[in-house]
Amino acid sequence: MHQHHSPGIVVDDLVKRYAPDAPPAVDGLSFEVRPGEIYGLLGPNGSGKSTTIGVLATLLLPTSGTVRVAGFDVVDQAVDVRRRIGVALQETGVDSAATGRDLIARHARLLGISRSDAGRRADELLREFDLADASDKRLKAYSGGMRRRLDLALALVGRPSVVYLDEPTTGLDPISRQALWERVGRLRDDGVTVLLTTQYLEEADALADRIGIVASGRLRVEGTSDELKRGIGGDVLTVDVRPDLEERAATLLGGRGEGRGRVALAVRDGGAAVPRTLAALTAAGIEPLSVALARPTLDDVFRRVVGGHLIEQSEPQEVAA
Amino acid sequence: MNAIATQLPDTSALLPASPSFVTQVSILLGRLLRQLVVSPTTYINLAISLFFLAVYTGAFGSSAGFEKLIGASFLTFILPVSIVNASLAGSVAGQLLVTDLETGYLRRLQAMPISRVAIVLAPMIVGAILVLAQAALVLGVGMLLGATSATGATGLLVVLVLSLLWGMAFAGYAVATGLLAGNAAAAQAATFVFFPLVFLAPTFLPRAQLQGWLQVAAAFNPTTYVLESMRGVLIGGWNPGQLASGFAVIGGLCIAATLWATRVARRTTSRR
Repeated sequence: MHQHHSPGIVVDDLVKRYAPDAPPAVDGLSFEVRPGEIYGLLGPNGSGKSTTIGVLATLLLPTSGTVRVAGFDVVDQAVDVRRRIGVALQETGVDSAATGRDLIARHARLLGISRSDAGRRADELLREFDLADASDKRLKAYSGGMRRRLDLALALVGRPSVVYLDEPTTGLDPISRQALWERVGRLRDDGVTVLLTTQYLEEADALADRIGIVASGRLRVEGTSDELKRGIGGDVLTVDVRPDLEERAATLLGGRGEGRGRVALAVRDGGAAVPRTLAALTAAGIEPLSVALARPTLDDVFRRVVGGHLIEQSEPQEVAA
Repeated sequence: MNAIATQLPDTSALLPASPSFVTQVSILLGRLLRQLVVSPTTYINLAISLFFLAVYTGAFGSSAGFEKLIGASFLTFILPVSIVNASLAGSVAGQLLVTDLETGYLRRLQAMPISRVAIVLAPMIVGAILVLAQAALVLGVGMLLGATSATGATGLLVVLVLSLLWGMAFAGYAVATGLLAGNAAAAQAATFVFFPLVFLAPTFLPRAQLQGWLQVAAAFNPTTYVLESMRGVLIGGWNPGQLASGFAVIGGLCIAATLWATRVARRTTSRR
């Protein structure tokens, strides 16, 4: 089938059972990753993330539902899918007796790149991932951080249009993690579609254009990081005024006096509420001494969602369970 | 579900053509051969085969009575045992495949647009190459030390083909048991079947000289027919009946083991 375009990833009602009588590891999962988007799939252990990636990487067969990657069906057009994906999965290993350069060059040749171009591509990626000095070292001498960078380099050998990154920075120190984030961020500039799973919520927050949270094999909620955070009840604005004005300010703002001149109020959008609140206080002749805005973190969202509490507000796209 | 908002242009035309099946196998083969060249195990196995040859010849080779009993020079008589031992190098196929399974490299290959058959075939071919190389070396050392071939160079070639079939049978067995067990240690442990195979056979004496239950056991042991076929061409000259039975037994075993290995490997590497 000729493809005119390369849509990202479309997962529609995916169900995966490892045995006919086993409970589903993935249970009616649907989501889309737009071309050139970085999509973060979050969920607790056993929520079906790795199984989903296994199906998307054509390593597992779906029990039912359809999955299309770069416009191709993962069941019937697996080879077409494999030609377009780059995979850095946790369980994929390397040949530790090989050197970094050998491994990348061999990978390139298996993808149909000529021997001389494969060598050039290996050198290019080794430089890009700061591994040039170790290019002729055997992989058994690579540190954990170097191995993760090499994993990502391997995933990019064939210039894939879709990349899966399964917990790409697990076990990395903060500096290596930051460097890898920057490189993953650049994939977006190259128009690569990225599906990322991670146990670090700040990683999804920093990298993903949109985030889907899965629990028990189903998508519970998805949206941008800001949408998800707003969805759990908005921000908390705290205003300090002179203690004798606290009660008046609380009444005026519809907030709650907390003593010593502090008034706290829940607002839907903190960014917009700050100037409005300050203006209202000033107009009433109450001088604000300080203002603080606390936003929910993705951590709060995650705890709330996987704890079984679905988001009730309408802004993020709530997904029917 | 929302329609996809934007679409990137199709880049299919920029993708390089997938390499041919033969190229895939040769790339995978190159990798495995390189691994073997740097692996000490390769040389240990070869050294053990030569060690056995030296020990057996040293222990029994100077006995004229013994040579009268077996009807040949002891070195020529025992040489097939060392060759059969060297052929166990075929088990490396199983170990290589299981190591890739354990490290996750197999999974990486499975997510690439390459043939599943190529992934399994490459280690089997490596096993065959190693068997041939080791058997040829042991045979060469044996000839240098004074072993003879009653059927000349053609006979030596027949011995090598028999060792290849034997090695491939062992490779198939090692691949299947290793993949079923799922770890390299189990693949290694499975090669211990070699001991009953070698010692319940006419290893040190012709079958006619074996006594009681050992003679019965030897009749059911495929190693017996490999050793007798090899000894036939090295010592007795061309014996079509003996050769045919040797090739039938080891050929059948080789086919059965290869089919078993293919079946297990297909199940291991296929999507479920």
